[in-house]
Amino acid sequence: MTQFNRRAFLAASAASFAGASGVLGGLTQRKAWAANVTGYKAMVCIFLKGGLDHNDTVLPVDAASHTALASIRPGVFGSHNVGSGTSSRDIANLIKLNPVNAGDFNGREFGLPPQMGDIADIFDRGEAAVIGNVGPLIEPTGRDGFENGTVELPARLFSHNDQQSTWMSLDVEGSRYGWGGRFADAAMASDPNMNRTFAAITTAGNEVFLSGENVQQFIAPSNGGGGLDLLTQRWIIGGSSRHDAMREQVEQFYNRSETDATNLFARDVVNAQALGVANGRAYAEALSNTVPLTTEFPGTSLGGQLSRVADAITASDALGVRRQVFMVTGGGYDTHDNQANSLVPLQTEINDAIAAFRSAMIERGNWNDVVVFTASDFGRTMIDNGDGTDHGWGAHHFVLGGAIQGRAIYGDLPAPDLDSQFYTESRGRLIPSVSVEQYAATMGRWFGLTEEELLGALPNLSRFQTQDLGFFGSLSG
Amino acid sequence: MEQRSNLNWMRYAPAAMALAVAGCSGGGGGSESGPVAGGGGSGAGSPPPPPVSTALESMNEAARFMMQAGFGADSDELAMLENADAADWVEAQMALPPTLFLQDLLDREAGGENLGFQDHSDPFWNAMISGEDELRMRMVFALSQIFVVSDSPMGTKVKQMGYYQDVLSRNAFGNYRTLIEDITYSPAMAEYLTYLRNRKGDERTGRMPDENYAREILQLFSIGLVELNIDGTPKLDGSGRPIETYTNTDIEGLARVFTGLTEKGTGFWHGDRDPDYESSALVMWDDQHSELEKSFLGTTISAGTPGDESISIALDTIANHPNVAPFISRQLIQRFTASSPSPEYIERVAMAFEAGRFTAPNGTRFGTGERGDLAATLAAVLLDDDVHSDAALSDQTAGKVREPILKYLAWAHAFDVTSADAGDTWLLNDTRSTATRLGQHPFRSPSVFNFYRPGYVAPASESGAADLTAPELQVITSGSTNGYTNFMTRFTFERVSQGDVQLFVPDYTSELSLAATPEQLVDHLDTLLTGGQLGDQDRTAIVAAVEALEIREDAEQAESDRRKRVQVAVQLMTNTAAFAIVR
Repeated sequence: MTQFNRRAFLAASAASFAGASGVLGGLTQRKAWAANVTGYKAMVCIFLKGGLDHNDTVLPVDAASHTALASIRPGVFGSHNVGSGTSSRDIANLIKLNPVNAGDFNGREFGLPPQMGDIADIFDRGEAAVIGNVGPLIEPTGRDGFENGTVELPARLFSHNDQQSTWMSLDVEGSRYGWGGRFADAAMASDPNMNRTFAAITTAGNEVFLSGENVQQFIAPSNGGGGLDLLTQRWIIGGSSRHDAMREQVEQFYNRSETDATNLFARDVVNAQALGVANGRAYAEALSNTVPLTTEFPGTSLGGQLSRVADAITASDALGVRRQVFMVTGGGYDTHDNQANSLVPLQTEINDAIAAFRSAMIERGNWNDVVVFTASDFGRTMIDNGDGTDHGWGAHHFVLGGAIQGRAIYGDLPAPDLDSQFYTESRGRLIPSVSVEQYAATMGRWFGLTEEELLGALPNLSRFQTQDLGFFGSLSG
Repeated sequence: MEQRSNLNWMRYAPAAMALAVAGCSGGGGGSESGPVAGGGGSGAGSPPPPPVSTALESMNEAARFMMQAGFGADSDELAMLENADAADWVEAQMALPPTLFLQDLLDREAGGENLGFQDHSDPFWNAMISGEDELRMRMVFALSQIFVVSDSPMGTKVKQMGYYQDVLSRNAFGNYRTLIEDITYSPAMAEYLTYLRNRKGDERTGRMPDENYAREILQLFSIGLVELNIDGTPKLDGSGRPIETYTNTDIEGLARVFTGLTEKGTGFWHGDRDPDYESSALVMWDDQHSELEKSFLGTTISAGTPGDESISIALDTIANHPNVAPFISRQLIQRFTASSPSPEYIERVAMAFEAGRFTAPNGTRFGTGERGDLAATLAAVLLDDDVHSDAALSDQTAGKVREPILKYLAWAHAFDVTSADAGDTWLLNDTRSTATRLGQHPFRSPSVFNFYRPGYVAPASESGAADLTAPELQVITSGSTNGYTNFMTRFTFERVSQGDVQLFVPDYTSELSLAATPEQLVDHLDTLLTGGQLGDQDRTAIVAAVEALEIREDAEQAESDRRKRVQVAVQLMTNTAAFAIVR
């Protein structure tokens, strides 16, 4: 089965299990391919908080589909001034994608907004792919199963925090371990000499995605070092040698790795501090020995975060780690209102930051070793609420990297036909045809995990017959 | 700006004061005293144990209580509170007139000032640092973390934020039902959760009402996602699974309710707004309000019901849901006294919410008797056995992780800082950075989900291994502690200035007088900052650090060395295990 037939297979599997034979053969072969942590590899998750409107990101550029979409969401199209000739959503201004599997879509064609021109270019270079209609699933789910309640569904669909958590950890808020952390756990277990302190790095907050059982996330400081002023800036305590003893005592205090406190919360805070001091120092030291990148990153939140990811990848030797999972986050995607004005600049931000990251990785010779992928709470309703959209479910995402079998669309990009089996009866929410776990498994396999490790990290994966979406073509069956 | 007078609360103390002091050591007054709910954990048939006295029998007990209920206290304030009863402080504080924010903004604008982005934020910092109505400001801060409006996407709409701060301040000790109504009609919430000018559906175009507020008012502001017992534990179905409180159909029904609201003006549209729209309640335009039937949570509002009436019915329905008491009570407890409260504690507070009444161990009564009374609910949070018992002091799971803003404020209160107008320093402009500041800023959370979630369990932590929730550990991590420490260093070492003017000047007078005797200095700071809960290891380490700098003979040099000793001691105190929590 080729990767593109697999796409067709996935579409079918949402409604029935017909045509499943052949995929399992590929899996059996892969069993022999054992855990592998040779060479350097990194996964970089760009989590777009709030729920990216996939319908306003990957748009139809053939006239029939574009017209159909316009009639379904007149509010959103109207606020984009579609038809004005200058709208970023006018067919003429969308940047058409030229996938090698264009023939799979019965004449339907797709494009990205002009704000994402670099992404379209990376796509056409064969270094990026679109993964259509991905979302949390417990088991293959079609419209009938959803509406009749005959399939097991992820809990708390359409709720921000729970679906963020489900994307990151395959369970609702409160779950402890994310699949990024578990992937890092597995990789670190293969080589005890690697420094697991820097195997999972976030440039934003503490996110469950990166929590492993053994790997804890490191929060890469935005100010480079993250050292303590009281220790590093001599003028605070005093610069003369008669202050040295006091400075030493202060240093010992901040570095205390044991505490006699018995209260668990107090212990956690003291331990976090000791770890913060030690890890911050080690990280700053590793980074100080690397030659700075010449690639310039945009001065946006995502630009800044991806530049820190690039720094950490550059310093990976010094950090002592060959498998890293990163998380960067962007906010503002919950476009209930004023979507045309709020989403457009965010798409520019994504585009510019990713383009700079690609340049930086090419500069460092690491572009073939990284996969950048997008994730978000959920897609959004096809039917608008005026000038915005509400919480949905399935959504389209991007994977990028030199190792990607790109210039292709995997999964499904369902036609804008709300009566079709791909949508919920209410408001046209996409019912995912690809589960987050299939998406994750495809990357995890490339990252080096064994089939057993993948099944351990992804609890429902075994319920899906296709366990590799094929976007790392060379690894696929 | 006006400085807080530490003694003023006495002026408002009621006649019960004398009785309170007299009865403080006996574990409460007459037979009817004690929490309304009784001990939730006591076995059937056995009489409930006598309530723990809420008398503040020592400086340490007073300090402990002020960390839990307020923002901390200096030595003078603690001396006043010693031998008083916590219930009387709560009662006196609740009687104080509220600090309000909007009028000052309007006055400044009327005086020709162009209001800027920080102009609602600085006054709130100032109110937390030096407001007389400390308990109310603490409650406003707590409510701002449950009914979240963040100013970060609001631009310079500071009057909407000021209006919203007033809604929380006025209703802090009022009734929950009124609070959610005032919130619903506030322009800030409407803008933040996108129901401003939310229109009824349109069959022709397929347009549907915005569902945002319908979803979040249920999930975050009232009932949560799963059905709860009165003690906050989830109800389970026959298969042992939690029962979800609403479906998407409920959301679609409720979304119809929140249509037709817009800013004050001559019409529904943007261009129709009155000049004072930012500082006025929203108004309903029935022609933009859904005339369809609205069904949700088992209630049906019949077709054609006008907008304000529909909202009133909807808010009644929401407020009357049995989940509200445990859902809101648990979060209030988390914001004041316990990161992972016991079901019994939650039940006692939730019962006060239900009854609208709470009687303190010393007989002081709180609340109007109306369900949803927040004064009764908060009193139940602060005057509970779990808060005042000695047992909590050695309990591994008791207490609340002190969030970074509260840590900073504890320093400001302990040393009664002067020249402390937040507007004068860039340091308090934006304290969100985890790398360099506090990792949180009042009224500036990253989303409606607050800085942290009430159900957060920290990965790879000892509290997590014990299944304890610890919301604050979502922002207090190995990646943020250095930022906090550096931020505090600027303040504790008196490095905040504007030109030649020193700002946020701590009064270290008493501490300087103890600088030559490190043990006494640390004892003193232990009371002030940790309520006498400092551990031996940290005590020894701080004494050693203080002793490490010799005090020179020369008077001027000696003064400088003493100050350095005090600053180091204070800074290290704000990083001790004991200071990390309140309990």
